[in-house]
Amino acid sequence: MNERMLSRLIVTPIGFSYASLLPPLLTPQHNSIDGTAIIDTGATKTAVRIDILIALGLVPIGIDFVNTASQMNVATYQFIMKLSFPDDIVFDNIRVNSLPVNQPVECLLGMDILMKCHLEYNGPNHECIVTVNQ
Amino acid sequence: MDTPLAREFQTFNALREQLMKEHPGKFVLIKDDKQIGIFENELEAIEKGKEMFDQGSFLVNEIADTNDVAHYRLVA
Repeated sequence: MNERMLSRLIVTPIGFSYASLLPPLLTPQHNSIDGTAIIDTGATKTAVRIDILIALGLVPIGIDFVNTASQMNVATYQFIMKLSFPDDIVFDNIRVNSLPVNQPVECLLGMDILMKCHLEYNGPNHECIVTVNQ
Repeated sequence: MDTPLAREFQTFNALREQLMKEHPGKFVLIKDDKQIGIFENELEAIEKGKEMFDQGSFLVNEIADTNDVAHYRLVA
C-alpha cells in the first residue's frame, strides 16, 4: 500500500470489522467501517477508537494500561478484531486497545503490527510504502 | 466492581504471582473468580472461552509479572 502523508503524519485507509474468531455479540450498527489510521511508530500497540468498536458490536476480551501524552497508567479495554488495508492486506484476530472518542483519527497503527511490515519512507517525495509478507 | 471484566482482572492480579511461577508467557482464561485454563496462545484461550461462556464475560490475558503498559504519544 502506498500511504498518504497529511501534514506531518503518515496515514492510510483502513477497514474495521469483527474477527473471524469472535463474531459480534451485540447487534452491530455496521458489519464493517472504513476509516483512517496513523502509522505511529510511537505507539507500542495498535489502538482503535471506542465508538468504532461499539458500532461493530464488539465486546472486550481484556484490560490493558496505557500512558498517553497527559496521563499515566490509564486502564483501557482490549478487543479482538479484523483490520483491512489496501492491496488486500488483512490482519485478522488482532488484539487492539480502545481509544477515547476525542481522537482525530479512528486508529493508531502501532508497533505490534508494524513489526510484521516492511516500511520504505521517502521524506522528500512524501511517500511511505508498506508491504507485508503474509 | 460492576464494570465489564473488572472481577476477572482482580482475579488475574490475585493469581499473577503463582501463574508467573508456573506458566510465564502463556495465556490464562478467567471467568468471574476462577482460572479456567492455561493456553499456549491467546487464540486457543479465546476459542475455549467462546465455547464455554458468553462473549464479554471472560478475560484472556498473557501471563506476565507486570502490566504491559502501552504508550501513545499522539493521544492527549
